[in-house]
Amino acid sequence: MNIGWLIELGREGAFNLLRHKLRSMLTLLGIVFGVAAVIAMMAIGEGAQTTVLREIEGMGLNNIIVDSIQPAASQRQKSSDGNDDVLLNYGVTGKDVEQIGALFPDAHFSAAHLVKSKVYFRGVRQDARVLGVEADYFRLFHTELLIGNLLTGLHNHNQTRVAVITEQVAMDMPARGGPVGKTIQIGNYAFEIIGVVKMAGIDRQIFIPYKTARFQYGLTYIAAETGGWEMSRNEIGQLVIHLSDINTIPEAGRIVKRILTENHNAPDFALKIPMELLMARQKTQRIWNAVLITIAAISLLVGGIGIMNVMLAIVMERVPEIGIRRAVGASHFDILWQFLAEAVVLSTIGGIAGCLLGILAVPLASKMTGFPGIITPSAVIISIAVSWLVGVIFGLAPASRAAHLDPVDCLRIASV
Amino acid sequence: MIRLVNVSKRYGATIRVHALSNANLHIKPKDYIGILGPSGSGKSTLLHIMGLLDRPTEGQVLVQGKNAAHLPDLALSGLRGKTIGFVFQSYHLIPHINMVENAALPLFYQGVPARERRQKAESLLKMVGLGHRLHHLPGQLSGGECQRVAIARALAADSPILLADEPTGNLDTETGMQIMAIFEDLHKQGKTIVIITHDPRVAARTMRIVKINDGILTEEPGQ
Repeated sequence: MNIGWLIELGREGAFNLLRHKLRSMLTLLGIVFGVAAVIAMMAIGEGAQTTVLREIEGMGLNNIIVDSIQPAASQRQKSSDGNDDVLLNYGVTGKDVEQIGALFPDAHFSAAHLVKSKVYFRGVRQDARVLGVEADYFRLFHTELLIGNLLTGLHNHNQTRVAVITEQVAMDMPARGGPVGKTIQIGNYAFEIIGVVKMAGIDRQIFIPYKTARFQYGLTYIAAETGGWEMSRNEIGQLVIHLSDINTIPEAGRIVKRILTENHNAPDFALKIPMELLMARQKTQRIWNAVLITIAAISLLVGGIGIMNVMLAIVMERVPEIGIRRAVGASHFDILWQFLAEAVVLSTIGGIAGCLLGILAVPLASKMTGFPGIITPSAVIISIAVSWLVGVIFGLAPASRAAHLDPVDCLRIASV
Repeated sequence: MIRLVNVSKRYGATIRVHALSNANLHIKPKDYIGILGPSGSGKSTLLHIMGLLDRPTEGQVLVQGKNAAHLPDLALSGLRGKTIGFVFQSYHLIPHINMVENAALPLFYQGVPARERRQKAESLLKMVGLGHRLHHLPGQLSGGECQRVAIARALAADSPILLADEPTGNLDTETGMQIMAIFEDLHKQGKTIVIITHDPRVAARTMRIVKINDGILTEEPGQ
């Protein structure tokens, strides 16, 4: 037995299948749809995985991030006399930081100051969050500097009015020559844009030096737009706790959460632990993979049974031919290989057609799920290999049946 | 070439049917034997056992000196393919492949490359007078033509022995005689030929007649 001989068997198998095009096509459908579904689902799964993981990893796996959130009116604390406080105090406070800092002396803390003033570019309101950050803030996240420069310690020290914006913000600022060097208006002050960054997991954001934010805008913000006015005070807009040892993150996360829960009566903070998001995501992915494998296995089983069924019919139909081949010198194995080759050709064609259909279906599935579809070569190779294997497994029983037919009986049937 | 020693073949476990009992036959090289018997006499069983398609219940089958009764399937099939060419009453051509492919079939199992197989089959088909029908399918040919293809196939592997089972049974007398003429030519070229038939006229054209009746062989005195 050699490769040429196998190729010839395969070609003969294909030729035999072509004699019954409709039957062969119907038999293929099970495998085709099974493989197509697997390819499409794997592509979406991969796309979703990559997208989400990139976002989570972008937030820094060593970080614990606490954002201050202004509570909704209904959840606000009433003062002792039953009236609304004139001044709304909310969010992370210096006290929180002090307590947490005492427990994690080795951790690096970065506090960001939230500026709630409105942002305008050439008179157009921009929807973006303004954060005053220290220069090292960018190192805590996966920051890609697209153009220009980042904020420096000197900017901070001098309380310079410069801003770094994310690419999402930059995209809404149509300016000839790019946004760098242009001016944006934040509240009452004008800032020069010095850089554009890309940060995974961070969307529309404008970064200004911490001290500029803290001292030029202050802690208190007066909103006067909906007929009345409202005064709110927030000490720390965002706190990033950076731990060097990733293994301590889950425990640290629990401690931070306990301290914050004890200190705050209202839900005015949001705790984000990228590491935990990642673990949750990986768990989801494992479940998704298990579901995927199950569906794939069931559809391939159904496809395989279809192949087996048709191969049994083909063997029965070709009993005379088996007798003739045996008479001219074919052994058990020759007959076995012949029918096995036919089953494998059938399932492999099904696998390839399924892959093509799956690849065509990916854009549709991508549109439906909102995740990009990523077709990996390994998914394609595995699908074809598995469908090949299905042909071998489900072709074996019919082929072995053909091989063990008594040549004399076969010839007797041939004579009738 | 082929020697049967005390060969018996029984079918059925409860009701035993002796298809062949204690048969002894020695086919020598370049023999041209007619095995003559009515239907149901065990002719086909004898052919299948001589042709290594079936194994005897008892006795020895020696083909080219090898005892075939105990050979494993792979060796038996190899031996069959190399030494024996079959010609059947109803031709037994594979209906969906053309004449060249049919005639070349034994060579496929000998591992002969495709091009050589085709050349050999074409030359054999020309030899039996079918050079103009190489790419027809069996259904497109007459019975006599099909039988010639079957003979070409039996010759493809250069088997020294041809076993023919009622080769003229499905043909009219004239065509049958043409086929017999081919066998006679082949015998002259040195082939050992065994023709199984119920027709005394066909048997009469052979050199040596063995009669079979109820599974018992009796050889007529030499002619």
